[in-house]
Amino acid sequence: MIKTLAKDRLADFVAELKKESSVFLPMPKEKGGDFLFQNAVDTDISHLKLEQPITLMPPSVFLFPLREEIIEIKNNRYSAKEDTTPVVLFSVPAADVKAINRLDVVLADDSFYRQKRDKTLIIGVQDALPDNIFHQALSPERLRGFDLFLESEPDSFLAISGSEKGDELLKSNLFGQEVEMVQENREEPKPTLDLKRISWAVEKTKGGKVWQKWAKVCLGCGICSYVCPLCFCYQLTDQIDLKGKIIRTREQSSCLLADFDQMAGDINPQEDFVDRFYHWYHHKFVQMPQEYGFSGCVNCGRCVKYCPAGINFREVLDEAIKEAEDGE
Amino acid sequence: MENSLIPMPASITQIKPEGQQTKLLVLKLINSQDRDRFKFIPGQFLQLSVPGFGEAPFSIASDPKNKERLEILVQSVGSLTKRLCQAKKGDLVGIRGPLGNGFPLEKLKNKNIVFVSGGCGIVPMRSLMLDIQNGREEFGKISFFYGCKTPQELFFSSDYASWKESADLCFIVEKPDSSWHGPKGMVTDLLKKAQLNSQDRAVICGPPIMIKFVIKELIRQHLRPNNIYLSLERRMSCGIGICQHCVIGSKYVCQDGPIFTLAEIRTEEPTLFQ
Repeated sequence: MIKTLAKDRLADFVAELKKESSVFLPMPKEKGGDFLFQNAVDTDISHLKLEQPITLMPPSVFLFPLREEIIEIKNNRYSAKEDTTPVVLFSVPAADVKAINRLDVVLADDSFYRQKRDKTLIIGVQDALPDNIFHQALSPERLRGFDLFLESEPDSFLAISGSEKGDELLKSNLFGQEVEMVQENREEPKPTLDLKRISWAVEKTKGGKVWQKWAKVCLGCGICSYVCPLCFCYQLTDQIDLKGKIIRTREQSSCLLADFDQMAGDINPQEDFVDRFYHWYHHKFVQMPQEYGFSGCVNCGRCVKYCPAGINFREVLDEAIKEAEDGE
Repeated sequence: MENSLIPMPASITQIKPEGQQTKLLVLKLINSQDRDRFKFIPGQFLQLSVPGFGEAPFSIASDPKNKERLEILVQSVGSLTKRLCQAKKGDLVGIRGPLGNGFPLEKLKNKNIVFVSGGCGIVPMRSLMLDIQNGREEFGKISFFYGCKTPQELFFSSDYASWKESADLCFIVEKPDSSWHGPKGMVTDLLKKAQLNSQDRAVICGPPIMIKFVIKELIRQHLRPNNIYLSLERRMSCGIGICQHCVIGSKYVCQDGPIFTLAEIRTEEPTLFQ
């Protein structure tokens, strides 16, 4: 179902959502600072624009946090912690909607992810990456997994429902009449990354020069893993508070950090940093396509924006492709 | 939806020392439904939860057909295992499992099998031996090679008398003392003297360096990579194929393993054991 929403009614729509749920939308941390999805509690949202810079942390952190208390252990009883507060993620870029779709597959039987996912509404927005130099060519009707998608037209928004929950939202008086989907000759979105070629090249160049070269530039800080919406490595640790309450916590790990594979007996299969550097690319561009049929990258550009060593993964992949082709 | 990260409550019902820093623990799942559902095959492992210390993976050491005794071997090498080695009867723990793929028993039937292990690597071998003894006539000749640093570290010695009836046992020790009258050296030295058949199946578990040299020797004696089974280990968290810590190449040690053939693992990681 598709309806229209007048541009000046957007803030009213968010206010309506706030009545039932916590609404998170991109806002600057401080004046001139990075954007983050923050709780629209007291914020004046009348200024809300849909063209925001990419957020530092992806909205997927609301479904799969960096750090999450998952189990309470008391008298050897293990009880899962509950989190049922309804959440709306508002103004989610298409790349992040795509990432959440993929996480839905990877974490399909993770009870903690599913609990958060089932009570979260995803309201997408047409790509809002003004400083995006990468061609995004994703149109909403080819996207799935959102509840509502707002596509900015000259005079209003096209509000496209993607689920039953989205249909419910469209029942609000704020929306205009139902519209027919305009039959345009929309170009088939061109894939922005040639995945088959990349997969082949990454596998072929294992141990190759491109990895030696870029592993020297990389600081091994792991920031790319933390800002990536499709990095989901995790570890479980127990924490005890002063009252003796034991909480098992899930924390995201980074495969770039030294102790990722560390075992007792001083054995570390990926002791060489170049192996860990390669592993990040191999997981995303070789293993995940083999395992799931999709890559571990939606081209959101966060790792490029936030890498302190200035590494652009697309350059690395281009060099891997060239090295693989030269070796043919 | 069942939550695969929530452990089943269990208690430690017996503790038996197996060396200076090592204990055999007998576990019992507290809920009868959990006990009824817990069916494992040799080579599988469990994630043991020690509240406050976290979880660690342990190969199951016991006979799959013995419902009364679920056994693991614990060596004190870190904070969690140290706490386990200090455990008392009745202490409460948590179990997630059985996890992993286990040995493909059907592929071992009617074949001669060579067991090669070192140190704690004997654990999955024991479970396999005990299970084979449940139907001994279905398997061929069994040669059991086991090596350790010192005679005191030859684990499960109380089982050897029973195993002698089903297999040829050969032990070797790197640093013997006056009590040791057997051969001195590494387990590969035993293999070099043994006359193996190219159609033999081999099952191997031990430190990576041992595995590397054992493989070299087995290949030298013309055993086939598809018939050489390795029980591997990696750091683990989830144990259910998501967290990525245990991955070798593209394979999960916790799901596609811990039992891999040499042929498989070479495809994933050609330089491993080279």
